[in-house]
Amino acid sequence: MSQQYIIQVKQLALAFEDGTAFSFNDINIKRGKITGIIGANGSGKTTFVEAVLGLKNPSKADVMIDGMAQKDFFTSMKNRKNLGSQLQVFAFSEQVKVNEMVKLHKALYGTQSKRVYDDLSLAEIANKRLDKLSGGQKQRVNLFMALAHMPKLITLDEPSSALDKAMAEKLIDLLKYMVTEHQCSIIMITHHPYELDICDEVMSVYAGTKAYHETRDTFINEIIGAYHAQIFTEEGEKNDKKTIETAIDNIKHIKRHFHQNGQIDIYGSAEMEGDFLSLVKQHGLKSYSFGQTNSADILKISTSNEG
Amino acid sequence: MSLFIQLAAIDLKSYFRNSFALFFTFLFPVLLLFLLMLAFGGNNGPAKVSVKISGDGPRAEKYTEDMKNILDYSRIIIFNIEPLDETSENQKGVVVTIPEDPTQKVKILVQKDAPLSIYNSIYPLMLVNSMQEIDYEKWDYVLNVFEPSEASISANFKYGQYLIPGLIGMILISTSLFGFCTFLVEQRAKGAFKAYHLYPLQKWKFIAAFTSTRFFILLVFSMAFLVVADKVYGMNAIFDFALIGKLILLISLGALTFLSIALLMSARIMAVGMVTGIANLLFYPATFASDLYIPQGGFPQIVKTIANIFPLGPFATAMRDITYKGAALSDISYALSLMGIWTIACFGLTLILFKWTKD
Repeated sequence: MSQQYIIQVKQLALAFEDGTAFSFNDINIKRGKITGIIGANGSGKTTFVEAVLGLKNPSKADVMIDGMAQKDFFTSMKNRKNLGSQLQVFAFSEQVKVNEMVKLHKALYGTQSKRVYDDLSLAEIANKRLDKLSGGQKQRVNLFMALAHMPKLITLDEPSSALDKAMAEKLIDLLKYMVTEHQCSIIMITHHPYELDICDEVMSVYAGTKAYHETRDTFINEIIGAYHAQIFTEEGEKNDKKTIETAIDNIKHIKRHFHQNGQIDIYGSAEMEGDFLSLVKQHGLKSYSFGQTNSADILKISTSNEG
Repeated sequence: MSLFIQLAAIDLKSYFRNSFALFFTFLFPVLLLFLLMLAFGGNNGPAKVSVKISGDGPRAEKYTEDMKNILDYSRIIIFNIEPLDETSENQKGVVVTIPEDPTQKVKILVQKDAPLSIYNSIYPLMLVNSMQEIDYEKWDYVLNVFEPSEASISANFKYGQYLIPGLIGMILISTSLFGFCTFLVEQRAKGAFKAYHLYPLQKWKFIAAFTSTRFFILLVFSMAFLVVADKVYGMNAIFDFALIGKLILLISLGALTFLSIALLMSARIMAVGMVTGIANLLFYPATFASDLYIPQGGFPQIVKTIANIFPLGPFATAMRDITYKGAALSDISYALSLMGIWTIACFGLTLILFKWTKD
């Protein structure tokens, strides 16, 4: 098995009583990188990660973690010490105090990063019971339990959800530090552009299976399109939407476009700019934009019907 | 601090911060003790109904026979029916006087300073009355006396001596089922165990830490409950080192037994609603049939047999025997062996069957 990959999924199939089914094949997640997992709600992102972590009962599974079969990986306490997972559920008894969780973490892993403790500002809530914490404060405790031992493999499920902007920025910096300085590998389910910005690779999940898995740059340049044009149509515009869409179809270098809520999004290469501006002029459009595709665009497309 | 101690300490602290758990573990048994002792505490054993037969007329004989039949049928075993011994100065009880002359009133005589429980005696009498269609207007309720009985407990055995050890059995099973088993299933249902599954933590260590916390709570509280209740109600147990040693052994084994049963139940039951239902389904029949606070004597033999295999009844009996009858450990060997077998079997199966996640 290659040391290049922290996780290798040859085959992973799950079926649930309500009829939903998930199938993930040939997924290789690189070591020492941040891999973002994106997709619409219910598409299978969390199911995929939890199945890799052995928290689901797959009908078929051929999964390697850090070069070991999944079952062997979890049998070893030493391996588990190199794993940190922040799950969607807040897993701890509500009556426990934050400082007790910190002590439990130390007892579990034997090591604890002061930087993680400080960056997540746990000192200010150390004496509070978990049931007295806000959602964001609970999330900080959850993240501390996943990150404070600087594990080799980290899985995060929407880590900055519920965090305020300042704390989210601290978290992003912390994750970048952990990858660059401690060679951690991070798998992160995300719906936030600023989380996706730090991802080296992106895997999109659509309807219970992998849709794409590329580097972030490849994802933008080759799958979505490096540039993004937008037209905001308004009532009383001299050209109707259908005419505009027909005109868009004639623009060269477009990779995809779609129309939603009075807004047309067009993705393609830089070369489409000339044709696009001609279209704007020709149809007298007043509200439009043109710029580089960013993480928000990736997330928008990944949660659209196109996946 | 080792991981095991850390886990146990956190769980213990959490438990004492949980008002719901505190109520059902500590306050509920105390309230039950208070109420049951208020109702039956003055009753030094099951009540005796003495029937005064005026003459040897067929009416009184028929009534007495019917009363015996109806009491047997309704399994109300706290009443014994015997002819009234008017020569005895200590004669007590509910006395029914049935005159030969059907035009005269039937009298029910109740002790003046009798505890409230004496009025329970009227129920079977009224039942017989309704069967015999005796006119209620012809019944007098007069105050009389009350007497200990030998129905299911020995003559000098106080109700408190019967109740307090029985309530300790109830504490063990209720805390195990509702404060332990349902808690575990709830935690799993909301996904809390997922994190524990991913921690560098052996399954047995988690289970052992969690179980030891509840074990400690049950042992300390049961001992305290027994001593305080005994003193408050003047049941006169002699808490010497020998008795304390035997109690610690018995309560420890009892706590482990019911915790292991609860653990086994939680091992594979995934739905909170289902575990609550099953816990109730086990708790109520077990506590009613196991001689905890309702005497077992009148239950059908099959119920007694089943209750004797389930460890709750033998535990309560063993508690009474060592606390108030001076029994040695060898005298309660059946209860100790039975609980040992249940504990080993349930813990063993739990280690094999326990699931961390519901999927």
